[in-house]
Amino acid sequence: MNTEMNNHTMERYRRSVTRVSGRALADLRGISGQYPELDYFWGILEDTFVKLEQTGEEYIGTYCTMVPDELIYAFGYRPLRLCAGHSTAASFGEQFVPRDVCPLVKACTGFHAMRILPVYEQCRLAVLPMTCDAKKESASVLARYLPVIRMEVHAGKTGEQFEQTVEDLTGLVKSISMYTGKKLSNRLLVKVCRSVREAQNEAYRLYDLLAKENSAVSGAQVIAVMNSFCYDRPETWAEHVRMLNDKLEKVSITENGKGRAKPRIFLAGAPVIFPNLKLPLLLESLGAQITGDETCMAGRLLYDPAVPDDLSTAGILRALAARYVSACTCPVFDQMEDRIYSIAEKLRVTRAEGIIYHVLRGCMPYDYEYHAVEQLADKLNMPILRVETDYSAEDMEQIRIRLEAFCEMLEERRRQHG
Amino acid sequence: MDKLYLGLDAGSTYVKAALIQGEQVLNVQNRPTGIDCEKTAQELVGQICCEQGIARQDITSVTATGYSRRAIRLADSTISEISAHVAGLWMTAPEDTVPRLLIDIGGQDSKIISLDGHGNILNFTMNDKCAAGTGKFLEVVAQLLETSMEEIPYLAAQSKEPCQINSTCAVFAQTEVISLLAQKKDRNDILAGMHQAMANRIAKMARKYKTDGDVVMTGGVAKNEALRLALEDELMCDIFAAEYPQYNGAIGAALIGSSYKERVASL
Repeated sequence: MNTEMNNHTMERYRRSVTRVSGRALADLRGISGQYPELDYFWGILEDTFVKLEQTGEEYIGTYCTMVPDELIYAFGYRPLRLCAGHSTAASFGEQFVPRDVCPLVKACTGFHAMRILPVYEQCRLAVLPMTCDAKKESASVLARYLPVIRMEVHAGKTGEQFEQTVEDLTGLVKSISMYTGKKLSNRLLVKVCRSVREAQNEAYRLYDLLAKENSAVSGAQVIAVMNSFCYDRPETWAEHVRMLNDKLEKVSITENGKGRAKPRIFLAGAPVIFPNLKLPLLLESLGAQITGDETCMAGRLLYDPAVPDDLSTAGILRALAARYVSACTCPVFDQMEDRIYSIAEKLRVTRAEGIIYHVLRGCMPYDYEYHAVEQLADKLNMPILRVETDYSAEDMEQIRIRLEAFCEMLEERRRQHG
Repeated sequence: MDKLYLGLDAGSTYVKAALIQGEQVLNVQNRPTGIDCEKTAQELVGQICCEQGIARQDITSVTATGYSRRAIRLADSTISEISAHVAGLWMTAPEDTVPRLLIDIGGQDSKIISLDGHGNILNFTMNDKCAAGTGKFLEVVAQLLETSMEEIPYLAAQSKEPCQINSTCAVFAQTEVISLLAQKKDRNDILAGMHQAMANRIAKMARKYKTDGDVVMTGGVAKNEALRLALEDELMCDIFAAEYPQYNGAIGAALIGSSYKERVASL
């Protein structure tokens, strides 16, 4: 009887998860400018979140962007970003973590506890960087469902702390080896470094195309494409982004320049994760153009390249520590100058006219650094709007009004300043 | 003769309409939004046309703003309420004022808009998700205390010892007011406390903006003198009520329809 009840409950969650994901995919497919090259990305999101397909792969789950994907591939596993954007999972997660915790952590714990998403079920273990308080605390909740390795993240970025990070990564290799009984393959490590580099190159190209005047691709599409990175092998994903980029370049040449230039907005702050594409979809439905983002699940996901100067495992580990930790501009680090410089540079390159600062309700680190970004915006004489929200749809109308007024304000400024 | 422009502000509780010509407001009307906003808007336009003795075709353009603006098909264009309220100030701000901060308190939201000296929006803040500290809160408490929105400012002004009210939530305030009534607190004191609590909440949003110019209040609640005075005490500055405060959004929408910026520039 009890099992039957559980099966019914699981079926209800399954329906809810697939309905919400399906709606987000329909929104993505509804954006004007659908190229067949995008089908692959919508397909892998659909397989994962709507069809709930088993992939026959074994994953190692990770949080944030500090765990090098290359290391996991070199053990013969696939890395899976556990950071989730699903409202159903976030509601379910409230049973295991406090209600005021950010929806991302709630959704992650919710997905683990729900046990309906095959990719989560296929996780052999999880490597969790100790970043913000919510993620640190949630490690013990996740440990109920799978083995968890905690990865130390040092708050500072001094030379000494870099050396500690290199040591930590060396320790991580030993821990993964101990849990899985497998050895890290240097041959695979070298190979996958090239594949990830290739994926990075294509991601750079995609963002260059997004920043073009009246871009042929939308910000919501690009964010979803970036979100899909961890649901396939990097070389396959990169190949499809290359095809998409080639197409966009052709479209840009033939069709660009049509219509009035849209207000150019840069998206900063907390991550936007499929299927919670509320903010970019709303912004672009109001006639704005997202020119870039610094969010960790999209614009920053493949931003800095790993450049090993020697191809021994130790040499590659140093390069990975430099790329994944030292270059990371997550607000959990104690200095924020590098993040501010990075945002300033991205604003310049993308020729943004305004900033939307996304705060996920309950996410303290990003909210804390809002003031520093606001000061930067003041210095650049650039309007900025802080939007605090979660994964629910109930505040859509209120957010729409604020975004609409923000876009009108940018257009008015353009009229005045020419 | 100058052309006629009509603005419609389809708010959460009322639809407001304003007909303007040149720099003059010719007619203003409002009706409860009801369940069919489009029909309400049509009735308002019909009423204005009838009172002015004009036909719909005589109106050069109709511009809609407010929550339900997209539902109004008779409008030629739409504009967000932030832009509409700022535009409205051009006609409604008291003479000799240079508005740098606009406080608009509507039926279910409140907006604080910071402006430069030329009437351009610098930044804005809106309350989100709930109706705390809005007209709805006043309405709920007025109803609970068996009085009306028109009466409450006068009753509050007679208070000798305002009560401490902690919640400006339209729902939780009921519990608090009932508890104060059970303690035999004077109705006027409860009302005065309520105005202070509301002013305190709005001031929190407004304080983050520098105000080296004038502060102007719009929205139906701007007619409430007790709230305006309570806000002055919170923000430590004079606050001016706009003319036609309830119709500021509608007047602004009409002005935007008339491309008033071009006219201002040509002056």
